[in-house]
Amino acid sequence: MEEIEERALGLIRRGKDGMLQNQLRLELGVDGRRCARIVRALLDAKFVGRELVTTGGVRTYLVRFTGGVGKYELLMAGRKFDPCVGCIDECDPARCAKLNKWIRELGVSL
Amino acid sequence: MIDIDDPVVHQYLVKIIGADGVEILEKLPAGEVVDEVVAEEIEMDINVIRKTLFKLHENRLAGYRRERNPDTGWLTYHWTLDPENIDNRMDLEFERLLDNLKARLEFEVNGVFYICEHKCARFLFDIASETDFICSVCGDELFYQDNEELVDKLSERISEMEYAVRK
Repeated sequence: MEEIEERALGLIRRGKDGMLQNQLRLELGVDGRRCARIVRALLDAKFVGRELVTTGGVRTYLVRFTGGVGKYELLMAGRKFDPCVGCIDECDPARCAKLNKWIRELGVSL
Repeated sequence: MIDIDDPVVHQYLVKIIGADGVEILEKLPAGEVVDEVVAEEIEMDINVIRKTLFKLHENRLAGYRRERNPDTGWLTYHWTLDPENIDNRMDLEFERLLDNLKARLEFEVNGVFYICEHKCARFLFDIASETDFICSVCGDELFYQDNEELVDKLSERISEMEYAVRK
């Protein structure tokens, strides 16, 4: 996660009822396009959710912290579980076939 | 009790005690149990039950106390599950996977890779140049492989995991 994304996430978390995206942009000191990219990254990582709102006649998004995916769900890649559990092979993450299969499930063609 | 219905916990248990073991775990009565008694109660092979309980013990998810019969000298194992430990065990696995992903990311960031059309194997630049950029498996030409997508996805997952550890 980039530093600015972490900052954005911190600001969103502090806002009890979420934070307006145009307000977030001002707090971060970035333009609207950059802010939209940051929020998109946080949405993709499931750290936040957002809804379209109109405030003072201006349409913007209300961005809320959703807590991200459960910690242990990160042991899953798609439907594949952590290949290292119970593994007794010599550990070489650079060339491990089991780890390769798991990484492919992240959506990477190897 | 261990939440076997949680899909991640379920997968973890399948990895350490197998699908048969999870089936046994689902049927184990609460509290202290004796393997022989359980085998009769749930009508399963005692050796499979013992194997499962010892696997759980290896993974700090079950403990036992032994009792020797003074007449026969036979040992009876009284087992107790330790479900509270599952988070600690999964935390250890989480850290191990995170370390391995970091090691893999470093390898991917520092390496320059070549691959043939048939994807026989990936070759580091040094190896590929030694064979004049010809695949040593199929004999076809090797091409530069852009691993940016792999680096991005690994970085993303590592960030998520690091964030989850800090939370």
